[in-house]
Amino acid sequence: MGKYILRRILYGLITLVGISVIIFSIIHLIPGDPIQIMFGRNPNPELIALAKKHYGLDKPVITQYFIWFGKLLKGDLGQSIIRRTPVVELLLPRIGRTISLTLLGIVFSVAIAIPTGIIAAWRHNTWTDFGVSSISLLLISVPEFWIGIVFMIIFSVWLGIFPTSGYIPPFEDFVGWLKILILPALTVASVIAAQTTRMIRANMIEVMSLDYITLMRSAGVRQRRLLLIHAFRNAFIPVLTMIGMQIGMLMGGIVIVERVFTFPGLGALLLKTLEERDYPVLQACIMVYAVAFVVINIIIDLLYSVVNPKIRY
Amino acid sequence: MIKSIIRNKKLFIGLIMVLIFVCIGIFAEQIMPYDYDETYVGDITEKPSKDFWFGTDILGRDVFSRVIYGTRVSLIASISITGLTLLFGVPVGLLSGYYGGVVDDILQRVVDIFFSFPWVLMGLLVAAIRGPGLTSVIISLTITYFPQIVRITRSSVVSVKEQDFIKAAKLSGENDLIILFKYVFPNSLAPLIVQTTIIMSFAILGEAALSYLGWGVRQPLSSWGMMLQQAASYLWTARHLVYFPGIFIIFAVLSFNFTGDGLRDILDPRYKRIYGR
Repeated sequence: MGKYILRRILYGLITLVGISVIIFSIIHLIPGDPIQIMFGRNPNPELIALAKKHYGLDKPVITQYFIWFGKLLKGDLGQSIIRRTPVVELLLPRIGRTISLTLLGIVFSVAIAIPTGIIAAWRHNTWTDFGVSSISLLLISVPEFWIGIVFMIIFSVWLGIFPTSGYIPPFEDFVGWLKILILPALTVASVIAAQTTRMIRANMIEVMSLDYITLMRSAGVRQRRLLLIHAFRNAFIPVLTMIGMQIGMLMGGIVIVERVFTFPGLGALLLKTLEERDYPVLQACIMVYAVAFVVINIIIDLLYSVVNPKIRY
Repeated sequence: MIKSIIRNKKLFIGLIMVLIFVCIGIFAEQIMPYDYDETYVGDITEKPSKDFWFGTDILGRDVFSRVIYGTRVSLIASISITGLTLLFGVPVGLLSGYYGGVVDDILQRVVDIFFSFPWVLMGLLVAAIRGPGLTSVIISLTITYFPQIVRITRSSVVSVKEQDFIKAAKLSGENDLIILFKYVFPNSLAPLIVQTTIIMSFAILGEAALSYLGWGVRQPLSSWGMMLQQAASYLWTARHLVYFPGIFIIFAVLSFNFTGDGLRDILDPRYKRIYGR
């Protein structure tokens, strides 16, 4: 087990180095650089040269990469060219906000998906099942930004319960913070919940037809216990795989949801710095996404063995 | 009993919806009552009326015409993306699965990296490098989705290549290319057809999302996502701008999801059990 974890972490690190090379080269392929954007339309060539030298942008891209990578190993992500603040200071609060939004979204979606998925499987081939299947099929066909906008119309414009945008730190006003987070988190949750419900329903139906369940049923184990404990555990493993496969989609979805609600998270920063070509911040943002992706995948792999003790590494 | 009816119904309804979507896209010019880019200065953000069925937008353009033209843009994007993913994905998957070994390992690592890359980031980066537009959307989403085709093709190749009929073909001296396309490829058709419908729906959603973020299709072309981006600033005054593009997106995506679900039940019962989509 320990050996397996180490190997996974090693592979993860290699992938990250690969991704960092790709990201670095792609970003430098983007036409226009931050210095040009800084100086506007009528730049002074001498000043530009000076500024480029100051930020190390006059060196070859490969040298720039190794300088950046060396600093990265020391935990130094550099300085924002446009905002003149250390990248770490810009990123950390935003990472926290995006993580809290993501977690709340996942909590909502699990709270919706597990019960509905199990009920649909339990009531297989009835109208309840048909209703759950239809609604979840409909929901996976709706773009998350449209759900977000419709939520805003319902809860902000009509009912006036929740604000449409802005941010309040949780330590200043916890209820206010929750009010701001609820609509974006529900938006994130609606799409994942629909996919997870479909998955849990299908797996439960399959597992419930397996021999061990029939055997247990004939041995007198109650239906509720069969569903909630014996079948669910096995039905949940493919759900983990799916969540792992959809992390990339989920992270993309959150970037969009942040834009819909002008939520000051990592995604909003990414979109902003992409427009400004603020290389150090942009690289750092994308690296954070890459690290999150690799780490989440490792965690999901390890969770397999928790859910199913038969899997040993 | 109910189940089998639902199954057939899904495919039937799905195919009819796909047909409507494709027809609207092809005959957009004939359906549009106004030019999608024509502004009527006197009629800015009008509510739906007899003259403007879906109302007008902030520049006084007919929303109905723009939504209809958006159907064409969406159709072009989704067909190109799906076509290109098949064009690149199938050969890579066939070669990777059939030859195995080092080639397979390297191809699979490359595919893994593309697979793991969040699609929004891919879309944004390609748009930033090439400049935003329909072509950039098509390129980035093709890169994002072709790994799915590679994986599906590869896994069906791996599952048949050790079977006796392939060995027999090899022994009778058929060359590899003929074996690949004549005997191996047909076995991956069923899951590929299902995946094609899924990628169609992803492509429609992806184009809309990138255009919504402002890094996709540009003015003066109309795109559902772009229309929603503009509508989002007028939630208090012109909500009709939100509803119609959204309903069209849902219709188009749902048509392929219905079709995919129906096809999967018929073609590939095992897949349904595994992925449950």
